[in-house]
Amino acid sequence: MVRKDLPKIITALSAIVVMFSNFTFVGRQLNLTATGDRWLQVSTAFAFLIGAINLTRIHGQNIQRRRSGYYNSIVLLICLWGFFALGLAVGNRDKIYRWIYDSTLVHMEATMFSVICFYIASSAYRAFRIRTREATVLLVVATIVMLGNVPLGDMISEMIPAAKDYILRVLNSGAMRAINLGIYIGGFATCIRILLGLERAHLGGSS
Amino acid sequence: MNVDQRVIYVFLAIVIIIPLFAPIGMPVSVNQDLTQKFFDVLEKLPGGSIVWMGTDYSPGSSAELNPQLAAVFRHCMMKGIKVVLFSQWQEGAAISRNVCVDVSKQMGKKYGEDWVHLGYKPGSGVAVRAMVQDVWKASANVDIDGTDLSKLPLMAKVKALDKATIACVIDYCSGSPGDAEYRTYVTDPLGIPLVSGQVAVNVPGRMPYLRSGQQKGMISGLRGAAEYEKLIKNPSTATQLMDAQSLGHLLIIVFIVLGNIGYVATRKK
Repeated sequence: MVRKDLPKIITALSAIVVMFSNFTFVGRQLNLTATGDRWLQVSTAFAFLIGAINLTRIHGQNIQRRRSGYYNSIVLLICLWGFFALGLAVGNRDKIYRWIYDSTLVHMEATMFSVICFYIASSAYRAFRIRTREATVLLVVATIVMLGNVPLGDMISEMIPAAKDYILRVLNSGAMRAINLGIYIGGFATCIRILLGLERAHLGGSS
Repeated sequence: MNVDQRVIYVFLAIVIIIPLFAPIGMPVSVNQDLTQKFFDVLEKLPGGSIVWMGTDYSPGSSAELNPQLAAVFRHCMMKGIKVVLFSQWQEGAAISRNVCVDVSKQMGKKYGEDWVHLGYKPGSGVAVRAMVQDVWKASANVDIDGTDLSKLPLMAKVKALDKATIACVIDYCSGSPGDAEYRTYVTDPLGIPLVSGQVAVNVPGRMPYLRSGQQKGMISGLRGAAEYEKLIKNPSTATQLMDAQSLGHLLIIVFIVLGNIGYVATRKK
């Protein structure tokens, strides 16, 4: 009973406290939200620690069992705990710590995202086919927006950036509002289910 | 018609690299609904106003957002507007600090008097909410370099993220957390104007907020940064990269057309 029900009770109580502190006069005066926010920040830090430990466990098993590509796991664990140890030793404002961060992670991540543009180009070539009427509309709209987003579109015709603006401002806005409404209503429904203990996916079970 | 994807990669690399060394100089027109409105919001602020800049992006988006940040930060320094930066993404703090340090040095501006970077604080919306209450407490009384806020003259005027202190919130974001947190906890409840710099793929999702007035202006991707550079009369990185982006888009369209010609011809057989 404790394993199954205690997490649900904690979830429900936390939600009630947040609602009480945000939607009632007394709750706002007590400023419980600020206290809860500080607890949340500490919990987030612990969640990162659990994530790091779990990552170490999984990749440690890869190395132990010599699974395919286990050397990647060795590199990952050295980088993860080596950088962590460096941060503990010298602090995250140290010059060497920052130099390693700025010189490696920043540029590797930027490179990885830059490579994606080539995949997008080849995917666009393969995917944009006029198979159906809807696909044709998608192709035409995508072409207008792509040309409208660069100065080349202005040089070809003034109508292209104007058409792109109309598509984004009018056609797209209406559709996005509908999508956002659906997302937020669905999110609200999920929150109610979590509050009532009907949703257990976040506790590792099925609803 | 099947073209080996490596052929596409090679052609794309060529059309992107060549304009970087031999610029064409295509003229950039300013979008009146997006970039011009963003510019007008800052242009109307008197010198000495304080703006809050959120730098909520990762290195993957820095190619689009760094030029935006550089152009807008330069505009603020030109007008004597003070800037307080804060990041909900850890990488965003490091990247944005480097950009602002470069622009600040070029313009002879002083850290601590003209601008301050509070760095990254975990918690996303929680951190933003804490800033609304008390910036100093939420920042643990230190900036990005660990300097006590009491040693930074600008921070004597910035005690809370509120309407009395902050004239405008500017957020550069590539995802979540980002401008949604500022809209929810700061600009909508407190009535502070919000403008944002977005990666191009985020713009369709943000248009409803622009149309409803919750956002007063927006810079869209690298093209928006080039437009802003034109408005502040300082063509720089974004303007140089426009030629490459134009030819890249053109090449993708050419390949799409060729692919469809081949598809139609194959279907007819």
